[in-house]
Amino acid sequence: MRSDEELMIAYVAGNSAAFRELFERHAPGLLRSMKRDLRAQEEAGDLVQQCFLQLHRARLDFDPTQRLRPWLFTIALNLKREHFRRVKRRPETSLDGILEPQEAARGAQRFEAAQALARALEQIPQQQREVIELHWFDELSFHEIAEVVGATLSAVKVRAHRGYAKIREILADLELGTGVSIPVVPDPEAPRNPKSLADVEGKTP
Amino acid sequence: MSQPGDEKTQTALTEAVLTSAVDVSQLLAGLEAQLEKEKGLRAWLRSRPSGVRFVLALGVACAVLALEIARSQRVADVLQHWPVLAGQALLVVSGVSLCLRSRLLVNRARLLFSGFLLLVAPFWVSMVVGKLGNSGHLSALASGSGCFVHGVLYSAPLAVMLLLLDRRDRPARESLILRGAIIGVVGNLALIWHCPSTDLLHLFSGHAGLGVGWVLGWLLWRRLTEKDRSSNWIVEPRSD
Repeated sequence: MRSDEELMIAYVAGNSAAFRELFERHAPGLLRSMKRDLRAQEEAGDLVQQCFLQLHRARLDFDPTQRLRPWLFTIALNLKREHFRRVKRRPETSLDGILEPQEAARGAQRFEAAQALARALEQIPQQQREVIELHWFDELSFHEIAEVVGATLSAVKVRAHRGYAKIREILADLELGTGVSIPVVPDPEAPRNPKSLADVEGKTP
Repeated sequence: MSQPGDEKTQTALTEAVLTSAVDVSQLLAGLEAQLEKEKGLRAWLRSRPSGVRFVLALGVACAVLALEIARSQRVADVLQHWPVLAGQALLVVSGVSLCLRSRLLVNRARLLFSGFLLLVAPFWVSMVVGKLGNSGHLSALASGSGCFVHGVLYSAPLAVMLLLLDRRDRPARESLILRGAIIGVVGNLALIWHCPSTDLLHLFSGHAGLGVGWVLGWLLWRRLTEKDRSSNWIVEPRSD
């Protein structure tokens, strides 16, 4: 399978099928990411389309020595922030971005855990929330997140550490603290736990 | 919170997620339709590499200034104050670079700070010129409508170029403030060579209102176009 960067090089060279492949590869993840924060599904789709439109317009700026994925998420984050400024409200976490298809079908326990997690995410500062979403749900490494948010690696780890600690605290207050497995930072190379709800199965009170 | 076994909730959730696959293909179709429309001068200009866009924007600004300098009768007089001119030109260069940057996360505070610097630059210049003792008349700061109209005309080519080069359909407010401030300073620099006034305070700072005018103009433009854009994007209608 060709890498993102190879596909992007092909697209810059004029291969539109490569762009389609990039879209099919990354749009579902970006859509999930957008749906997590936007209740209106059509707005989420609109932002994903804009994200790839921006990528198309900036294609000649692509540097083959740099990874594509952080750039894509930078564009997405810019669009998301601008969207919330325009509509003058804070992101609201929806379950669509947290629940996987098979998870949705599995039961109300997961639904409850997802609701609690969504509420916890809404309560933490935006900078921490963005880092946690990129790390936990979008499965970006800390190096990639540092590229996306334009901060140093250590600053990103600090935000993640504080955010996860806060979530742990909130979930403990909701008596769900033992049911949701939250990644432990500061170990930067610790295996990520992208699908929190996989750990909740059978443990939610 | 739902109760365990809440079938209605589970069904709704399952349906919501199962439509995701359909959503992506619809989105791709909509995006490809939009990409088909990406043709013409604007599409070509804003898809240039950032370095090229930077050179194009500065090229337009330099062309306007060069034209005015060529027509000016008092080049030697004005050039005596070259540090003042160079300071403003540097602010313009850094502002354009920031304005056209697209790879990084938008830093609103930085955009706003640069815009503010450019807006107050003419007033800062007035303090420098005042110290040099070239003018004692505060009334020289008042800009006439003639100056303003000429300034708008001189800076309009840069305004059009920056609009064409911007890759975003919905630029951030701070980005528009910076854009307006850059255009204002370039208009101000052009008027220095053209304005019939011989008062240095007026020449260097009397046209500062131009930047404010452009900033307000862009913000008004953003507000007026916002409503149009909010409902015309490219989500294809759902088949169900």
